[in-house]
Amino acid sequence: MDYIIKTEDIHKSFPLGNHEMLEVLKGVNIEVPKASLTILKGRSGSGKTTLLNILSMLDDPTSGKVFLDDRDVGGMNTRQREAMRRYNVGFVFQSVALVPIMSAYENVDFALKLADYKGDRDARIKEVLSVVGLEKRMTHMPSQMSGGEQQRVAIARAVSHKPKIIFADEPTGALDTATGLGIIKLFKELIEKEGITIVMTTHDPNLMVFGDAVYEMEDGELRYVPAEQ
Amino acid sequence: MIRFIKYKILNKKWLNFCLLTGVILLSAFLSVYPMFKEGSLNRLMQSLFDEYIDKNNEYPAVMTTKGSLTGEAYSDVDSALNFMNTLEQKWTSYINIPVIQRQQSLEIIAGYSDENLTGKSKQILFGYVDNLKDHADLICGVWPEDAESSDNEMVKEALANGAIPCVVSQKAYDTDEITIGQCYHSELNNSNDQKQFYSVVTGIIEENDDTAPFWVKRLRKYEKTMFTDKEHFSLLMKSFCAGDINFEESVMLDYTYINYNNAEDIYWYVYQFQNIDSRLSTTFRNTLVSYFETKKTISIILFTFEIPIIALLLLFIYMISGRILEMETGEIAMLKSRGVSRFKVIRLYLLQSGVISLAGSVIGLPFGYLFCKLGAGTDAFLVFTMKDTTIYSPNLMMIAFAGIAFLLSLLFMTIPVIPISRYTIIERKSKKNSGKSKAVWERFFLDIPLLLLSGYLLYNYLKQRESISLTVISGGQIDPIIFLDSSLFILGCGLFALRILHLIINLIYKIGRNKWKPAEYVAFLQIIRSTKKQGFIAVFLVMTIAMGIFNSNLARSVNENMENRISYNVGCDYVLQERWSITVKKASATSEAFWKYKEPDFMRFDELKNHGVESMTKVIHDDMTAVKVDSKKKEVGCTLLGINTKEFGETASLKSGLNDKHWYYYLNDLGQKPKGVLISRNLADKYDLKVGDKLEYSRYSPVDPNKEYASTRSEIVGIVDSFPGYQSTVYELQPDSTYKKRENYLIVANYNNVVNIFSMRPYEVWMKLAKNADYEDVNNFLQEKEIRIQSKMIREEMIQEQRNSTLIQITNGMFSIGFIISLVVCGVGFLIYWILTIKERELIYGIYRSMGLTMGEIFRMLAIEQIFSSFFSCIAGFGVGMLTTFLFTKLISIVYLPREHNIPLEIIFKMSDVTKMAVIVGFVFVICFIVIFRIIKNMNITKAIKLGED
Repeated sequence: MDYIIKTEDIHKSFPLGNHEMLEVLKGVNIEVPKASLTILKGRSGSGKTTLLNILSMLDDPTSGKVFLDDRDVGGMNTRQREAMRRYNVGFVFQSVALVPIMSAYENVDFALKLADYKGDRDARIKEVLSVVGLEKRMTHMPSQMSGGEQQRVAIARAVSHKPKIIFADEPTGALDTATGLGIIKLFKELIEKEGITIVMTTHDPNLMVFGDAVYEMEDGELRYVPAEQ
Repeated sequence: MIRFIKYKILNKKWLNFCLLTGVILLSAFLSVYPMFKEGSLNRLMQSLFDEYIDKNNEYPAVMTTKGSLTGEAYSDVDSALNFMNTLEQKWTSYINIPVIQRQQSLEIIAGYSDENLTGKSKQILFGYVDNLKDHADLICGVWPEDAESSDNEMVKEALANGAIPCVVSQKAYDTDEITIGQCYHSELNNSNDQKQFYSVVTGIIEENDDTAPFWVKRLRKYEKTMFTDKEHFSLLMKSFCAGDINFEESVMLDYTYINYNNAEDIYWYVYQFQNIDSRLSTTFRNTLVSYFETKKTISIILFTFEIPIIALLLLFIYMISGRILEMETGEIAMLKSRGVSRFKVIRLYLLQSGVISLAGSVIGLPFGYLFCKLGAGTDAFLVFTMKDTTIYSPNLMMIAFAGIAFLLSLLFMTIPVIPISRYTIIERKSKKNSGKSKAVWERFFLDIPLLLLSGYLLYNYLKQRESISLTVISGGQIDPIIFLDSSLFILGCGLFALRILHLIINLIYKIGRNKWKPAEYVAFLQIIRSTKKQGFIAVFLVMTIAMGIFNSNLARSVNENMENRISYNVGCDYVLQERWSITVKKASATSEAFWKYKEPDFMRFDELKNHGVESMTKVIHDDMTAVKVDSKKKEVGCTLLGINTKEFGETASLKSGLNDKHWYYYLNDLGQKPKGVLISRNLADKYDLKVGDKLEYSRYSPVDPNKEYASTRSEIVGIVDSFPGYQSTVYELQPDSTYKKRENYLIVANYNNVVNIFSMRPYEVWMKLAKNADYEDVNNFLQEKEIRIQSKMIREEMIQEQRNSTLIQITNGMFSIGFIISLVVCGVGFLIYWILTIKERELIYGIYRSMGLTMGEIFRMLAIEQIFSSFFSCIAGFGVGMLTTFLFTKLISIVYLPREHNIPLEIIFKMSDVTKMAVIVGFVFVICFIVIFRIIKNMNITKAIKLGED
């Protein structure tokens, strides 16, 4: 099986201020197959966002290795990491992180510009926005859209430049159940159509059934959760 | 409540510190007004008195009354002096000014008295001046008190015959030929009988210091008076007590005590005294009247200079307060949602604003004092000196103005709370979502009417230029809108420039929309979509820089033009005229007077070459010369200059470019024709004269200004537009106290020719000082040699006086303080705006970074944003400032330089001023960028995203 992410014994500690360290990740090993939806579940503070930050190169592990697309992330310099994030990674944050001064269209266009998208940008923007069902609200500013609509724009932006992997941190956290389900269905469609890999965190038990693989974080340790559970 | 307010203030300590800075500056700038006004007006008062001394050569604060004493009560000098002292006490009990001198005189008219030597009858008076011996010197003879010791046989004989010993003035000796030993036989009549007196002249006297305040009435005015001592005058009074004894009382007040605080009271007391005593006159009533007129103008100008800066400060307070409230809207909406009444919310903020306003207003007072001292010490725009500013002292009105600052800042801090306190959290959200992207002025096109109004006012004022300048010359009130119009234009034009700037940025963005790299793309969108937020800072930048540029150019233009004109009017470094004595003799009352001036030894001045004088020359200067082109065409009141061309060329100076060719060519032409003359262009134009034509000019007799003394016909050798010391336009005072413009014509002739034709008359000595020489050395020399000066003009001293003149001081001082304040406001506003903006954008920068935007791209993005918003705003400010300079300098200069002059008004713009300003603004920018850079550099992406989520 082809894996897009592999980790080797990741540890992450944060200083507490009184010369003590808080160990958040205690030797995490995970393998994420390509074109799949991997779900990380766990209670608040269990370390799932920390793991996501490390996997997406936003943060460094205290020890251990991360391989992204068979490349050792620890061996990359800042510029290479930035390039990796820019061209191969997409993000969907818990709080909708759209650029407030840009319309839905411009938010997506910005991601395409960043990734130096070679194709017809206008067509691609319209395409991804219609995939998320917002083709009629392209000119609207984030402040003129609901939370769910904003999250859908964020997803359109994350997938627009056809990244290899999308990291989504609680993408349905601020949404109602129906909208949340809609978002997950959209993810599944994108995996199918675009062959994208998605790693997402959630603590919503209703969404577990959609994951190709589900992992649970508990006290800094990662446990694979078989599908029948 | 107090603890909650303390918590709220400390919670946003930097923003509240900025707010406090704004209030401190407001209080300081407002409290500068009363202190600067009082100091400036006190300085004005003193300069008016000094001007009076220069112009009239007499003490400027004298109250004089005269009358006659009759009756037994006044039978001796002491009783008369007591009466005069009572008068003085009455005046000074109301006018509480120290008396530094008094001249008390008594006179008895003796009528025609027979003189023993010639047998002629002359009209004489007996006089007594109290303390005469202390203020006068004997030229020859003895004082009446010492008459017994006289060695003059005629005096001895007369005294033996019971004559009253008297002294006379030099003038009586010169013109009435009264001399020592002459005896007069007088018959004094009163109602009862006739008494006979003999008097003898025992001495000739003159003032020991004719510039002393005591000599308000000089001895030459007592030309028929024979002064005797107290004992003899008392004897005369006793014999004459039933008749009229004239008295004259002059009280010299210490004018340095007449100031801003008591001037009006003094004026009204004098007015009331004059209503009671019609013979009471003062030398300072007109000075006070012109002080009151200028006071109005000064107050208006000072106030109009304050308005733009106060508006800027209030805008600053409003902006910072709005920013704090913007960050607290959630808190306020929460309170509202929980049922706290709107009134309670407003009260909370009113209390918070009250604490900051009170602290700021109090702290602002000492800053106001410092600003005033700083402004009073300026010599030009942003040129601060250590000159004496003791005349500027703090006063109680400063507290009242700090109170105004308190109320204004309280109001402007609380105003933004009123609309915000209306909404609950739900209403706030929907309000936020429907936010307009453009500022109010941009949406409602407020810049256009502002521009049109200021343009219309400018057009109208320029049309009335002539009448405005005559009003200024007459000391009339200046329309304050003349000054405010430029501020209005700067605001309108600044906003219009920002509108254009926004359009340009939009256009640039749209042109390259598909080609812009991510950093440029974000930067342009950021500028375009946040114009409302950035508008405040942009307006601050444009206004500050435009006002700075305009004020600096205006101040420089006014200062330099004034200095150029002074240099031109004086003609060289130092001009003096010595006092000459004249002998006038008349064969009979009806015959023509013979006169002869005694020329002082000019060789004495040669020594000045060791005191820093490089060259000097004699110049005959007469402003009452008549010119005749033919028998019908005659011009009177022309200026005649008699010069030695070579020496004059070496001594005088003339700004280049004022004539068709260098003025030395004209001097050469004149030097080659001893009887030739140079004439002014206006004279040539009026009578169609050209080089080679002839004209006749004549001078009047020094003893009879209506009688032509001599005339000569000369050939015109050159026609000049300008010449050292010559003004082609003069302004004459009309009976209705207004001024009328008149063309002044010039004739320049060779010195020797003028002396040959019009006899030797007083001339001026023109001097050129060596480089780095001090005119004080010349002054000291003149004092050492006891040279009696009729008049003098010292270029450097006049320039310094001009710099210290009230109007110029106010302009330089207020412009400099205003600029510093607006720069502080601009710097603090800019820094705060960007720090808060960067903090606000922390989440968005985190998102950019997570998406792979490099640090370099983020800095490029910020740089583009700064270039197109801040830097372009500075450029727009510079452009608006320059445009305002070219449009308004000529208008506003009318207030400073109302007279038409040979040197046309030149708009002076110095790159060094712009550099100075650019360095200061650049310094503020650099500090801002360092702070911004540090914030971004230390930003942690995951933390930033986390922060944003919070």
